[in-house]
Amino acid sequence: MPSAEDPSQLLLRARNGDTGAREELIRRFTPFILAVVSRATGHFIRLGEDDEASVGLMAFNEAIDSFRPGGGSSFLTLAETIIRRRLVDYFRREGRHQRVLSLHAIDNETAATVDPLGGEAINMVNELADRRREIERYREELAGFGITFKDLVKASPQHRDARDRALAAARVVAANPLFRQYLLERKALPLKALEKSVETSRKTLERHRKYIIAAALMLIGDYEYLADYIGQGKRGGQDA
Amino acid sequence: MLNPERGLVVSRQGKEVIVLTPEGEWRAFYLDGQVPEVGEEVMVPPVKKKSRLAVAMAAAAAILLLFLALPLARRAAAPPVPGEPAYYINIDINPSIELAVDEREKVISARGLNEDGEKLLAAIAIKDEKADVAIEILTREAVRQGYYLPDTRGALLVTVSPAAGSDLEKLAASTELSQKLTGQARNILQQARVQAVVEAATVTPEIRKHAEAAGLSAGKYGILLEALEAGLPVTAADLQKESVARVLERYDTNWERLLQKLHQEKDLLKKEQQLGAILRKALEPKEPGSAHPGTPKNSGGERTEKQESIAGSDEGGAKEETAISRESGKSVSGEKTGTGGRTKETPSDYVKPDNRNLKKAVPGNKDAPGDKKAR
Repeated sequence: MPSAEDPSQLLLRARNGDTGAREELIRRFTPFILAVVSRATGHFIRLGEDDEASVGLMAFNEAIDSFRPGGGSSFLTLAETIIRRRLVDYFRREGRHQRVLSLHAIDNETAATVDPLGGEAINMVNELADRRREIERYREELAGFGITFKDLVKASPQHRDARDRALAAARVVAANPLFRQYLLERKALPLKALEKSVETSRKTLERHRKYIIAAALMLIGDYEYLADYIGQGKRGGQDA
Repeated sequence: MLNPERGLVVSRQGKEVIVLTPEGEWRAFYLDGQVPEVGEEVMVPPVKKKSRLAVAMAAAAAILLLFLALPLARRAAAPPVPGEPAYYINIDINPSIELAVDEREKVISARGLNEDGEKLLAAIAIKDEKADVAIEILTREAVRQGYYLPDTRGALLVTVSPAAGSDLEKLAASTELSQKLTGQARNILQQARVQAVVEAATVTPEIRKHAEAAGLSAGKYGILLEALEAGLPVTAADLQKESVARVLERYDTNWERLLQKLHQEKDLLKKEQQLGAILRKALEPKEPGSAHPGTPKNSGGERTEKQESIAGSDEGGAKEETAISRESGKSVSGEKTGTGGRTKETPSDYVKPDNRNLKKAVPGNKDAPGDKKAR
């Protein structure tokens, strides 16, 4: 089954000149590329409508060739760096960065003028550190609820439908001030009330308790990156 | 939709990473090769869906195998017991650490042999990891904690000894293991752009016991023997406190060769016997002689000077040597004149060019204890 193939195998084949694998890899990672481009430019990017999307695709293609296995960082980290660099190049060429770049990117622009590549690399490092801090903060909050990441791996609903329902329940908890308070104070889900608000049986809710709590905390707390990351998978098919 | 292709790393333990996918799924899996940091995005391998039939088949096969293997296992005289130490691995950076690994090279326990070693171990979890993964983690942490400074040459010595028995087979397996581990450590240090001499050594269980009695790691003990033989006034107390690189640097600028020599060493026990009194002296914890602030320093200074001058003459010596061999290739008369003044040294030339230095240094060393006795 081609769709179930390990992406790192695809990467290996693509690097060895297999154009089919390269196309497949780019196709499968298009959501990733769009997410990175959206984050870098600060606005929603659509494939086929925004030039930035093509810049991202080409940069990703470039990353496939420049990736060195066994090097320091993962392929996706490298790809993200290159996509950001190429976007900066692109905006500078277009001379319209004033209008479209986000504040974040403009900040970086001043650094990049001095050292175009170095500045971007530093920015990547900063973002990585920010993400790490956010994850650490999240881990600590979860620990307060007696939940570890390992628990979540076990409690993660396997089926997409089940997961979507659990996420929907988490969204309901996060959006309702009373539910929110209940969760934060009692460190438990208001199962009875929640059961009425969402069309999921109490048994299912209980089974996915840890998962729902974790997702709700992510939405309640100020976890910009994490919450946004989960959203990326739902692009185009938003259900709540 | 398709299965998740990528995920955000939220935790990493050894090679196991836990990721959050954009679809909101939490997944755990093992990565080999590059190990990402928390906060990085990685590609996620697809879930291997096992059909029920496959699971049932696997279970049946396992049961069948168990029945088949049971009599075999009983017949085997001493089956390797998982959970029992099979090898002891010493790692000396300056943190000195000893790992006990079982037959499958899985780390059963780890202990720090000095303060730095304990500190290093406190920061990492390597139990139940494979030895090669453990050394990766260890090395990385040592770099992170700043045991390798820029612009100075550091050292990393991996010494393996079998837990019991010193037959050739066991020693050969130990050598293989130490080679593998040094390779791994070398990679990590290269990635971190650290300049370090990485060397492997194998010692017998007896030597390990002697080292333990001396309060040293097996690796440092081996280095002590090599250094003493080379005439360096190194003591066990020095090596307990400081790293191999730091101690040796004081006496000899060309200290890697001692590590290389240890790597090739076959019989350290014999070396112990040969060194005899010198070794005993070096092992004394804090003898009154070394309490005098002046004298040992002086002799140390002399020694370094001597050593330097030897190191200086080394190049000349090497040239001379090549000249000699060229001459000897040409004619017999040439050989006579060439070796004329160096008859004493020719035997050691046969062994190894480096050994000549050692030979020269030994008389100097013989003087040293004599001096001390006189005092």
